[in-house]
Amino acid sequence: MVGAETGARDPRDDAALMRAHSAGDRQAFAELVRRHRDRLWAVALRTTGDREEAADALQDALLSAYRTADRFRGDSAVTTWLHRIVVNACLDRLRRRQARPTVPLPEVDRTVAPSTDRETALVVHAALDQLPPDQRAALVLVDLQGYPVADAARVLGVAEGTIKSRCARGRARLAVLLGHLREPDSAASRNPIADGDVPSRSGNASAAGTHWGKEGGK
Amino acid sequence: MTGDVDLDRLADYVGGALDGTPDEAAVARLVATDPTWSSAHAALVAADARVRADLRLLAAEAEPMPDDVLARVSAALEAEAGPGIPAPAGGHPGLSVLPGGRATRVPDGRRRRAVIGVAAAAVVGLGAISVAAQLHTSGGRGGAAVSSAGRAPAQPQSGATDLYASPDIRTSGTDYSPGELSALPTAPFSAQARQPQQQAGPDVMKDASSSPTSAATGAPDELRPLTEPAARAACLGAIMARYGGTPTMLDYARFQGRPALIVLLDGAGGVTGRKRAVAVGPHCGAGGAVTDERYSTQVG
Repeated sequence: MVGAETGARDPRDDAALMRAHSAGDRQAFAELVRRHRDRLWAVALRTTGDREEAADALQDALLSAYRTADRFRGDSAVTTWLHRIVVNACLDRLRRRQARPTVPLPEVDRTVAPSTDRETALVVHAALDQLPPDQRAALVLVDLQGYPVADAARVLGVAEGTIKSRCARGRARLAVLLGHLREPDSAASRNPIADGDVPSRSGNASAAGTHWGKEGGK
Repeated sequence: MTGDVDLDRLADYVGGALDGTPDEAAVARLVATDPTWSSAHAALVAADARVRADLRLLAAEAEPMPDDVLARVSAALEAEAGPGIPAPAGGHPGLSVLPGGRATRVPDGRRRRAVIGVAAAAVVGLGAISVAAQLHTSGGRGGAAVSSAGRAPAQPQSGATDLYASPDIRTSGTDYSPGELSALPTAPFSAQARQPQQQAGPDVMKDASSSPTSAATGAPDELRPLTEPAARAACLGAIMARYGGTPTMLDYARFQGRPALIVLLDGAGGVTGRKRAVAVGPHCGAGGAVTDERYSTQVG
């Protein structure tokens, strides 16, 4: 599990802070949030893909954690518990958003190679937003936040194999969105750079004769 | 013999999700013997490495929690903890998550002075809104002095029939929950649904020296200060500065049992049509910031 962030002024560890919070120490929970705020924010922002949604989700999650801290049993790390609440709040919002009619997201431009790492990061961020929420959440935890698969499985409450599957399928979809892999079942007309020599950042590796499975993830 | 490749299944294989399952051997056999699967496998392995490299670039980007989000979370937790938090020396609240426990409230003396300054700034902003509304109205609605809710505005002499310039003000007595705020009706209140309250015309918002509006008679006692035009303008100015948009409804009510002014914003975050509900306590607007926020959420 990823450890506490820097700058902790309180010598107590996370578990001790949780016990203190349950015992009525009103500073304890604030100290927990101070320690982990940047990681929790990054998870919320990257999972929702929207600053306002992330702020709302984080606020809801931390209020929920504050109220239900006495239910924390200590069978997982405090950070795992906090991340679980934050990710679930994000996924709840994403699912509600999916239920509403939305304007289709713009496709990633596969014909222009990003010139800087920053630009690449922005393109990847945009592509990540187009993944199904479950795949996105798994990729955020494992590939962006650096959680081991086992920890991500605990955060999301699923089996490790499910996390592997969501990450693998999510990366395959990203590969298509980012132009590293040809769209499954696509004809050249749907992807004009597939057989041409238009500059691409990837070379657009072929996966001819492929199609997605019936389900978007395990 | 060749067959179409199920990319999800192949991705599971490449990603190790099939390890130890019977399907692992089946996919391995296809990759070894079927040219289509073999080609797709090679392409996916190469693409997977590129995607991982791209993700590493994104992962390397620092994402510190922005100050405004930090302040908002801190305020929400302070509100959740309720009154009576033992304040350390220096006036810091007991539950700030800001670095060093920095206060999100300001001492009362400073707050009083700040309200006046912020009120003046807010008056300018609201005045601009009023002008915009007048331009909008004169642009094509003719002389019909009826709002979109089908009601005659309380102060038709302003000419501002635009809802943005004339937020509905009510004292519904509602004790809102977070869920109720996120599902707040975004259409103007119907004449039937409205409480017998007044509608605050732009002049009421602008005139910091005018007497408290009739909302004072129905508002919870703790919220009476926010019925003063100057204090209310300071509060709305602070909310608009943080979230953008314009207020379309104010309800002097409660949030989770505690007195709270509920403000519904339209165009929040500069996004047309995006609605946001904000619940604030009686100290809203102090110091030019939303210092007493209880909760905030997108609506709809």
